[in-house]
Amino acid sequence: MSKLKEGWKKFLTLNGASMFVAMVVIIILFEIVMQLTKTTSGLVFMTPGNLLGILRQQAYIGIIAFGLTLVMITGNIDLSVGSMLTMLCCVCAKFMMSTDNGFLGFFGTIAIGAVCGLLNGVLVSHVKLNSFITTLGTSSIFTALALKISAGTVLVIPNDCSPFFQFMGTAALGPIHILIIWLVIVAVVLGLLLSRTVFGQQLYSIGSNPVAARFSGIKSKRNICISYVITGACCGLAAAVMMANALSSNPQNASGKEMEIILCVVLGGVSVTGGKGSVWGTIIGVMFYGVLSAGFTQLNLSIYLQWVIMGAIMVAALSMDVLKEKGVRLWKKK
Amino acid sequence: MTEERVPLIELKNITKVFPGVKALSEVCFTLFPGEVHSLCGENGAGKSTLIKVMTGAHQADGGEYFIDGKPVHISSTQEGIALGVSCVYQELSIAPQLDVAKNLYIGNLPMKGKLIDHKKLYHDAADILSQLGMEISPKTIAGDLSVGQQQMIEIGRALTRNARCIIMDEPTSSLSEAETETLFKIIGILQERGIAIIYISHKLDEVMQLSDRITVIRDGQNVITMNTADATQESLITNMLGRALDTMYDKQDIPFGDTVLEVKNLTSPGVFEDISFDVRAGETVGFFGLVGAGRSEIMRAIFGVDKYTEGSVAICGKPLKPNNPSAAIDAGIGFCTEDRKKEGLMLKLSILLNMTLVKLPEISKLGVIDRKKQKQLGDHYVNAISIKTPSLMQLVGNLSGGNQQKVVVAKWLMMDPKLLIVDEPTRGIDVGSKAEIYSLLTELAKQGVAVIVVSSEIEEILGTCDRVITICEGKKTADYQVEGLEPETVLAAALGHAEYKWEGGDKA
Repeated sequence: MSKLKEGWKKFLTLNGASMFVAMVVIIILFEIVMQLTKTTSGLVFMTPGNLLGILRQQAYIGIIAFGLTLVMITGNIDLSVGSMLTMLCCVCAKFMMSTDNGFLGFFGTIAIGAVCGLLNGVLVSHVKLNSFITTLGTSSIFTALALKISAGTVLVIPNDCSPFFQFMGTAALGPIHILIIWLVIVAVVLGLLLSRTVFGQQLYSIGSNPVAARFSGIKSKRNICISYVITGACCGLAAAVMMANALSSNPQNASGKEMEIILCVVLGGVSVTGGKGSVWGTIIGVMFYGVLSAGFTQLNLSIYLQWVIMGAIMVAALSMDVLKEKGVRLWKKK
Repeated sequence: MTEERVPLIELKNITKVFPGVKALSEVCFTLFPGEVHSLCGENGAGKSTLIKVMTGAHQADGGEYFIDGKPVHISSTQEGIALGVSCVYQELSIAPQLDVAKNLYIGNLPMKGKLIDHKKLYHDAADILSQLGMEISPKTIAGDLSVGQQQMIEIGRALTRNARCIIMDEPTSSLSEAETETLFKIIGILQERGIAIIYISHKLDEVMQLSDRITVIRDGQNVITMNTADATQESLITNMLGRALDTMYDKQDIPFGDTVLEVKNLTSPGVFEDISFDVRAGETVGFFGLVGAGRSEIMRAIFGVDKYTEGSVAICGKPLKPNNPSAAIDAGIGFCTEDRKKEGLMLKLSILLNMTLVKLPEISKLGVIDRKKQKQLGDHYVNAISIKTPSLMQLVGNLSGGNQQKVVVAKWLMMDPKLLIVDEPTRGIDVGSKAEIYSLLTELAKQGVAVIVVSSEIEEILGTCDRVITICEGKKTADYQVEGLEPETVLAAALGHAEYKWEGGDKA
């Protein structure tokens, strides 16, 4: 019994554990509200099918959020992920439309994403620009490029394109859609990279105290740069998978995605000042966000009201983070 | 000096306690109008704390504070300024983008209704500048002024607030000789107007030249207050030191090996100049100098975090790449920095990660950390140098100062350094941990590590080192063997009064 209690305590101190509990509570609340408004019997929201669907919807955002977690742990940020995703979707569509080479369409998009990340990374780490302003600038460049590549229209990949390419976005393992598998693969790879490798641990030290990291002989520039490249590659993967799944790209459809992605990362417990957080936390953040937005949509909440609520949650999450940094306790510890 | 005059400021038995340290204990101090009163003492003697109590930045825990004979309780620097106590700090607080007039009246601008009265502002500013004998326009941008002129603006700012007592903390540390003379003239002008000056400087000749009276404090206590006429530089130095060596040191005779570190003509303009020395395996060399003399900067340049323009550094005969800390670490240099919170530790991260940070590449395969090995290493060092913590996963920020310092030391011990530089290794830590750190340094020297100890405490240098190199204003002023050395000789050399007792290093 006491062992159980201790395990529970340990769980609660884990990164993002309180968010997980909050998420479960919210799922139950949604279920109750939906039970009240619907007349059919049985579960509505809490069905495995619905929850897996939510996870599937979150795949694109999640893949990028895991990459962004690395960047944010170093104390930097990437605001260009949304427009990068849009542009890479257009690039992928163009590849497929002009060559119908599945390998090029898939891996080429990832490579171009990595190059875009490298641009951000070099500007932030080697030219030493403020990451917020830099990526705001490159974001504008990517948006313009997306419009240029697509000529402002929806690009459609033919239905009979490379089967390899389509497989990457539509296959399924039983009830588990390949999008969820991608999400899990990226989470595991980046999670292990962050927690088990020298590179990952050095990212924490850079974010926690850049001066001390320099005094410890850590090559901060290189590490920060690599974290941006990884984020770019994640954008590339998300774009490729998205295209393989939908076969059409709208240059407008990913605008504002960076806010959702950052929200997921922050909700997952990554500190905006760096040095704290984990991929496991971000997973919770991604699921939490997915549950909320799916719940609101299923309740037919107006999209504008959803944005208001999401914005408020973002501000609240950031405030909590800052207050925690300052050592302000909202409630007393026992 | 007629003692019937009412002192402008009188402090009686002021005591100030910080957690674990008694910074001031029953300190008394009086200041008469129009007097220049110098405050002398070693680094950490309590001068700054005393000033902070006077200006209101700190509140005394005991004792009484009188201004014009009336008891006061000053709870903020604003209140202090309102009562006429202003301080010109070592670090200037000039807004470089604003013009001189706005800098003079910052926070106190003349108003006409809700708007700034620019006419009055520039008129008044010109008046203050002429009082200070400065021939510059009040519309000059402050950032374009020399450091000396900026300092005058700070003094001018005190005048605009009707200061009656101006505290100057090391005012000449960044001034040229000509600027210093101008400053002295201005001090004379202020004195004539009845403004009292508290003058703090490590430069004893300035103290002797300027002041009417001198108070020496040591270990947070009054040692003596004397009229300058009765004082000599020698008597000041003796009073500033005046302590016997402790028995907490554990110095042993260790045979020296080959030369490990060789520094030749290291120069960084304006910071240090033409520094040459070497350190042999098993040898412990102390660097002594006053704060700001350039000791830490030399170490930072050797380690590669700062640049240098001339000279060379070699480890075991191999030249070391400049400005590259990771190359320095690969070559075997460990560096426990002066400010462990800023430069040494990641307070938000675990003890384990902090300790093994430098070692990580070595205990990993293809970039994947061998976590078992990491934990073993952590356990080993926590026991070996007795870091008191419930767990390796504890955040470093939660440890006491002494234990934090041990984490930093452990970090560098793990890499088996050839040369270990420790900068102010015992600052802000308790006596027990101090002794442990000293015996650790001896242990390292025994293993053949070359050690450099940078310290502002003479006892620490004399108690731990084989040799001491003194630095004054960026230059090497002496290189003494420690055996039989008097603390006074070292302090005199660090103050730039060495009778150049050059011993030609240790090339025997």
